[in-house]
Amino acid sequence: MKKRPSTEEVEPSRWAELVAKGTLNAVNGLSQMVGRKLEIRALDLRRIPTSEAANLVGGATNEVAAIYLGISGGATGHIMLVYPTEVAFGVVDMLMGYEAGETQELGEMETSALAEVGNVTGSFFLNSLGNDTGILLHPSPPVVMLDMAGAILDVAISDIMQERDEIFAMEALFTASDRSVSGTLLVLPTGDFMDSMSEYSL
Amino acid sequence: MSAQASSEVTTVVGLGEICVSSALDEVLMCLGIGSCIALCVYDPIAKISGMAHIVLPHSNGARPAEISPKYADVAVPLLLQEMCEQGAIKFRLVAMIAGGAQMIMPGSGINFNTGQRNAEAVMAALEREKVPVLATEIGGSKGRTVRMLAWTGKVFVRTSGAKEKELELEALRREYGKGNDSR
Repeated sequence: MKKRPSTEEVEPSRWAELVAKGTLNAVNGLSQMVGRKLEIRALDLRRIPTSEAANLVGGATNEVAAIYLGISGGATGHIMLVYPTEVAFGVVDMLMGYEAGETQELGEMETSALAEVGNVTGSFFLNSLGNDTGILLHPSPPVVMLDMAGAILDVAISDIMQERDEIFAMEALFTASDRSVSGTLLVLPTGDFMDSMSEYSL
Repeated sequence: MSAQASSEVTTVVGLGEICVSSALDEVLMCLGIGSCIALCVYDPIAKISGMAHIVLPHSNGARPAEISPKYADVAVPLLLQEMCEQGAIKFRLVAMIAGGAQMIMPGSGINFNTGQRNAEAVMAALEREKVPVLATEIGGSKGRTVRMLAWTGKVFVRTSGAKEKELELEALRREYGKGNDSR
């Protein structure tokens, strides 16, 4: 029987190092894509009860734009790139060459542009983590959602809560000098993910 | 339109939690639910309300220590039991359900139909308990916030991007009006 996951099995400093490197890679990828210099303002690794997960993105009823990617392969988990809605529209303006403020809703093209932002960010993160650990990690096709933060998080939380009632969250806040593309990168591994890390990364 | 008095006491029913109240000024809430279910149960005579925030459909396979009201098949009987312990009578109970959205559509490469499975599990558990479901606001692809006024049992649902609306209560009035002996 597969052993039960335990976040404590992964040495915190090693895990933090892997995640920091992956996040830096992801933000570099995003930076190239949007053509702006981005900085990681905060990188936080936390183990919190699932009931508090919505606080990671400003509260359950906070309306946000999120790009979701599932992680599959040698480990499973969830990646979410979360923006305040107006910031997501600004990112679309920038990518599509629109005037600032032009995007007011997400059509097919705009959704596709945001999906690509998530794709680049998630892929760069997973590539870094995969290279360092030797674990094959595949991102799913990105899904763009405009909704209440709690409802979006349900996608990951309902999966994680099949195993346990806490999440091991990696939260990275990144900003540009004009803050127009500031967002939050959330990585929510399943217990299985942490288990794989403990087996391969140390 | 929903009245929201300043004297209201709001109780947020978190993921996998249940709450029972008959307080005149208390409002039970499930905030920003996607695939989760807000199960609202009411005894119109005792004026006792119960709410469960259900995350997953079935507890089979879960370790005993993990059995909790986050599962529909645990939450439903437990909520009814707690309501009855506080003075509700089971045959008078009626249920209203909101949530169960499919946040990620089929074909996106991710197979998550937790919302639908949650809704089906809650309906099945209520049927086993012989509690009628009088109003539903389930499915779709948008998140919801659900409020239940503890004293009146009125349930309000706000779907993302839309105005809050009261769950259709005509069914409740009809049910209550015709008497409860038939159940």
